[in-house]
Amino acid sequence: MMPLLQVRDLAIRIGAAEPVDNVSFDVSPAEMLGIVGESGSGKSLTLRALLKLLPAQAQVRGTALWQGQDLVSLPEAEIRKIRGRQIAMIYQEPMTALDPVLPIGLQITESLKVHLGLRGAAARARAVDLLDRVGIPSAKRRLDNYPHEFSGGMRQRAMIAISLAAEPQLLLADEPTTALDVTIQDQILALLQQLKDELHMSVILVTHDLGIVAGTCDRVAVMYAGRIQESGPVTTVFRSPAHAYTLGLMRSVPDGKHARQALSFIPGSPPDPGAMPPGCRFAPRCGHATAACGEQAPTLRPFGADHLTACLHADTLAPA
Amino acid sequence: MTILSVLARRLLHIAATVVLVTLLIFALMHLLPGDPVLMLLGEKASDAGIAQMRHQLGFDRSLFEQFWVFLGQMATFRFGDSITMRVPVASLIRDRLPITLMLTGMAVVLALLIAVPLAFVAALRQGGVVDTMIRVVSQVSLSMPVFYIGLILLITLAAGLRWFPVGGIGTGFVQDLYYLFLPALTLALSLSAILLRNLREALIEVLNADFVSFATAKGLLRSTVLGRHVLRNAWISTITLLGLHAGSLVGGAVITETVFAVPGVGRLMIDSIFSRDYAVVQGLTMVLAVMVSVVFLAVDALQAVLDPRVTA
Amino acid sequence: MSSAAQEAVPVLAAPARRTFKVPKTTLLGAAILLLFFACAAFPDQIAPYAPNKFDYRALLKPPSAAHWFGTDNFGRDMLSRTIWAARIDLQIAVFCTLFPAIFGTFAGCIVGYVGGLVDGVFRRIVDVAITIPFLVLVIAIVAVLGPGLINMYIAVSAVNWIIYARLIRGEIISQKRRDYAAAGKVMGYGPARILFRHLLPNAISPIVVYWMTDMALAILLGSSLGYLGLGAQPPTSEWGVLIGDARNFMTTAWWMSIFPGIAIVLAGTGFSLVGDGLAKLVRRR
Repeated sequence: MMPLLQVRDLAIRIGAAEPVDNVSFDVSPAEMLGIVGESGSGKSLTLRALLKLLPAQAQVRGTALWQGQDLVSLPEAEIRKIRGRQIAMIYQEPMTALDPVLPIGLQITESLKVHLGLRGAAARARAVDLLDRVGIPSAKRRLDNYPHEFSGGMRQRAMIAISLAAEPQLLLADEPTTALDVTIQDQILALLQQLKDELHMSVILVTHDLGIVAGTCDRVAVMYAGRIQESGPVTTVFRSPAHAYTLGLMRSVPDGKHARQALSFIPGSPPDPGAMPPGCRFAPRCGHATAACGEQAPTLRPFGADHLTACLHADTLAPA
Repeated sequence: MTILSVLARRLLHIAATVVLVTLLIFALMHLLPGDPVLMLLGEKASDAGIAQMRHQLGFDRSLFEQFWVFLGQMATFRFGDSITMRVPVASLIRDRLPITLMLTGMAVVLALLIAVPLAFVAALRQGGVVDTMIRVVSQVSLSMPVFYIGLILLITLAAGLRWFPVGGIGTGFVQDLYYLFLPALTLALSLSAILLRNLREALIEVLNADFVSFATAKGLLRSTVLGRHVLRNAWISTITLLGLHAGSLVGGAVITETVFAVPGVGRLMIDSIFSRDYAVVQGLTMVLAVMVSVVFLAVDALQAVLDPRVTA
Repeated sequence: MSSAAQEAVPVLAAPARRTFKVPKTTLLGAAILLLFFACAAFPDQIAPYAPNKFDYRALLKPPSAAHWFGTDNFGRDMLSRTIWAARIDLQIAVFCTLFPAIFGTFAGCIVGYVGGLVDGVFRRIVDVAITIPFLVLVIAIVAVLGPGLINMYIAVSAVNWIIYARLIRGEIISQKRRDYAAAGKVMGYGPARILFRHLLPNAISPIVVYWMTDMALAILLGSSLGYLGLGAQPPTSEWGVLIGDARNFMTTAWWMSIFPGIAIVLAGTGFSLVGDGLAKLVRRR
């Protein structure tokens, strides 16, 4: 099946820093892809690059094929047609992502007007419909409420409603649950999955939470220091990691069977984007690293069916 | 909270502040060196005259009583009579206040017309050549005293090119606009310099805010994002800023009226100080304080209307 | 760790701490201030003529090689007069800000730390101060005391301290909530010690930055009052007074008004630029 989105060798350069390098992944229709990594690994930047939402000083190279068009090289006028309509994005903090001085209803209907040409009563009706669909009670009354009059979870639902206004085929979710309580997190994730199925929509879910990825995503791409280190179906990657970093991540998850033992963790910290090490960027912290790892940047290579890894020593890694 | 309750609360606060202002003025008159009666009558007054005035003004009563009477007088705008001009202070103020109000009103409009577009351009092209130029000009203007800006405009545009009159006031509304243009422009340039700096920063902050990025991500036209989302949020900062600088606006008006010989309350204030006409100084200080309070109230009202978070 | 790990890639050194680069604008500001300081300290060395030397043969002459800034209605060299006036204006910058800064900081510390009723009273004082325009209040006080430089210092100081007090009050309130303040209490330190030895040093930087900008504002205010005749009195020459003296010659001898004004703008800009530089330095910490 032809993937919906094909990203190849995406790289972002801001001044002297290279926060994203050589990123490649695919997204299929009606699939939830999780991009997981620590803060500062470049996950959010990658998403923003797809819709050209980066600051002017950022330089983007590579390709992102969407329905035959390369998003990276599209001019502003063209990508504006894709934003919201074919690819939508939701942000981490709904309190800052929603305009505080405009009612929610207006923030939905302005999308409806631009993308679907709906106005007036028809637009309002559809807006009520959207709020209903994302599970906001008394939707009709809440159309005229302002963002600060919603609770955290409701705000996030409202943001999802806004982004779904034009029924996009791909939703980019930038850490949508990080700012929410755990119980609300569950609800929002369930909502995203439900919408994915109902609308036949794909989702790229960016998060640092392995648990979320394990529970909701179909496929996962592990990102470290701006590069995709490993990707594949969630069960495969998490059960049999093919990268030293992923292995370290899996091992650091607390396990009830090993109570009262020291938590294992990956020593050191991620490199400064302005001073990336040569070769594999994880090598300085890696227990399996050899001299070869520091020489040349390893590229993603196949490792079993539908499983890619950038680790030179994938074969020698012990299972998690 | 409704808009009305916000305003009511503010009104109470202002009333309390104005009472304290009255107390301050009262204290200035009575607690500082010099006999207020002598100040009012002049040093050549006879002893009998002093005693009579003292009784008339109630200075033989206790300080507290005196303040109470004073407060009543201020509240009803009975400021007494001007010593030098022998007319009620209130009428002097009544004649000149409209001119000053017109001057400051024009100045605010001009300042907004200058500062808002320039701040937008500077924020949108942050770091560019235009932005740097705007910032340099704004920095230099900030260091220019109001009277100096007035002088430059007077020398170049009025005396030099003869586009505008050198000073004074016209007879009739339209003529007044013409006569007040240079003074208003002077005040506006000074105010713009302050507004520009802060507004530019506020705009940059708004432009970098998440909701602007989200609005762009929705696929809206850049003009819609700027016109609807950025502008609405920026107005709130602008109004707040204007409110904060209401005081310096009034102070600037005082100086500008002196430079251009405009017969407003500012000029009256300066003249009265030189002629030791304390009754006028007292009444004027009161009126100016009330003016500033009204501006604060108006700013609060506008904020409540524009920003839904205020009435939450 | 496997033996292969012993050949591991060396650990990346921590990135070097970025040292503070003094911006060019700050250097420019400092250079300007140095120039004026020299004019104030050694006017006789720098000025080409004596400031009060009348020259009836050169009345109201425009700028020329002999008189860079022209002459006034008594034939006095404007450049020299402007240079000699620098010491008064710099004095104004210092005396209008020094007392308010010191007293205001002290008062604000106490208000911020003690809080409660004292803070309530202070907030009322602030309300009154922002309701009456600064200039009007200063003028009103000068009206009662009489015009003159000393009275101007008194009038300005009486109002200006409030701004410093408000500034430091905010900082102290935020600092006193921090853990190290609580730790001090636990260790049994008295409030005075906690306030002045521990909280104040952490709160002081915005005050220093504001002081610089305030000196620029003081020159603006002082020269405005001088122009109006309420500040420095003749024969003391101050830039604002020089411009005020030129009132009758505004259109006929523009150089009498314009050049002292340029000095005001330049001095003010110097202080502002240095203040901005200080602000950047403070932010980096």
